[in-house]
Amino acid sequence: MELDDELRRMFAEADDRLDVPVRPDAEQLIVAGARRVRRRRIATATAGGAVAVVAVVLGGIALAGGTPDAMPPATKEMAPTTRTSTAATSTTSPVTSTTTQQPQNNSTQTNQPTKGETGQTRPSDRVDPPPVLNLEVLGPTGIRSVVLGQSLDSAETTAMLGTKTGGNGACDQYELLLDSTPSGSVYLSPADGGKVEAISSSVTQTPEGVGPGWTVKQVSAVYPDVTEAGVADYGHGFAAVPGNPNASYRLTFNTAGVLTGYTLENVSQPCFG
Amino acid sequence: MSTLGPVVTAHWRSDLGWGRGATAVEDFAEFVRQALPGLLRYGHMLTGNPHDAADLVQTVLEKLGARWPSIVRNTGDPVAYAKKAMANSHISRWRRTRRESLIADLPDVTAVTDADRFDNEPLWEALRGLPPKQRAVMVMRYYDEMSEAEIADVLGVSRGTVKSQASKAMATLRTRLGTSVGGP
Repeated sequence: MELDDELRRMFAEADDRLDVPVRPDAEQLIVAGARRVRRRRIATATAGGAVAVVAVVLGGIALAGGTPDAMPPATKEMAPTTRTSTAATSTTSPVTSTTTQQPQNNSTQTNQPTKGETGQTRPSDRVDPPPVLNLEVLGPTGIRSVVLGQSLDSAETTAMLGTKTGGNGACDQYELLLDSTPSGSVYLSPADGGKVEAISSSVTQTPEGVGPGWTVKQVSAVYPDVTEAGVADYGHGFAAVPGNPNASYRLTFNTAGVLTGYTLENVSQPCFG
Repeated sequence: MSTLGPVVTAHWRSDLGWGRGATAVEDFAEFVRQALPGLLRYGHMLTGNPHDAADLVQTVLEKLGARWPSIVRNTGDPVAYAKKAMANSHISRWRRTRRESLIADLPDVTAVTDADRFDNEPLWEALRGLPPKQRAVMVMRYYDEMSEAEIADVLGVSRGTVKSQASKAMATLRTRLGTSVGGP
């Protein structure tokens, strides 16, 4: 059985030649990927169709591309930034509004993620239950190990700061990385060598569960400072941050009145108007 | 609006319950660290190229990691579990378009050939030319040195199927290599 022996020999000696070089962070990427898989399973197991749509969209994007840029919400929705710094009215982002509108249409949700916020009844408005998101939490002080007030030096050690993507003279803007995936922006003022003043994302939720896909009405039920009139005027609404009196949420809505993302910012931030 | 009292930073880690919390994650990370090189080699054998190998390993390990506590609890050998998943995954996804691998540190070219590494190995080339199921059987028989029954168990097929896949593979290899057709 010559061929038999040949095969055995080849496999026995092939190890070196079969090595596949890996990136130094391969292990972290895999562990993070496993978390995403588990998160998607939990989302689809515990909620109805609406959440599954959001979760699958986000999860599908995360898995599908070798290029992290493939996440449309994170890269296209720099809108919170540009809108606030130029004080422009909100622009529609068709891709985002499609993906974030769907959860509304399938309002089979019975879960109210608002923690303790059941008292905001408005008899004249019927508020559909908002989507349960199961996203990373941004707020009340930051996200994972990046927090408001943090120095640039310290933020650099978190591996959550990506490339510097801009600056408007008042602040510098960096990519926010979640497991190496661009997921928003971090804004630093130059004071004291660099200080985190704001963090924005369109793929996170507040500790109260508010996030992309929520309507103004649904957000208002959690943060009453956000009103339809206010949002119509500015394209975003401001809310005090429960648990952090020095910060605000700047919640950004598209022209359909659907939340596309938000910024956690120091009340005293010098970055945007 | 209610104030929340103790700030509820619903950090995803505590939400998801890995079973034993941080320990389970560390175990999985450690498992990945140790098993990755060997699994990548195995993936390379199964798929015939390093890009697909990395892609296969990453996909399988992510799914495995999502169920790490129960896998650790129920199987004695996560490496064998992973290899089994890889063999079946590769066979069933044969027609899927290839994705960019996120974890392989390879030059960004469309065709990374093993030509330079397997210059004197026409057998390797011939093996790469086999359909995935036949190649998987060959790998398990000659690298893992598994018995027919064990291979059948991994692939979820009958021993007869394993036998016929093996003999088809051998026949193809012999033809490719120009070896005289001898026994089975």
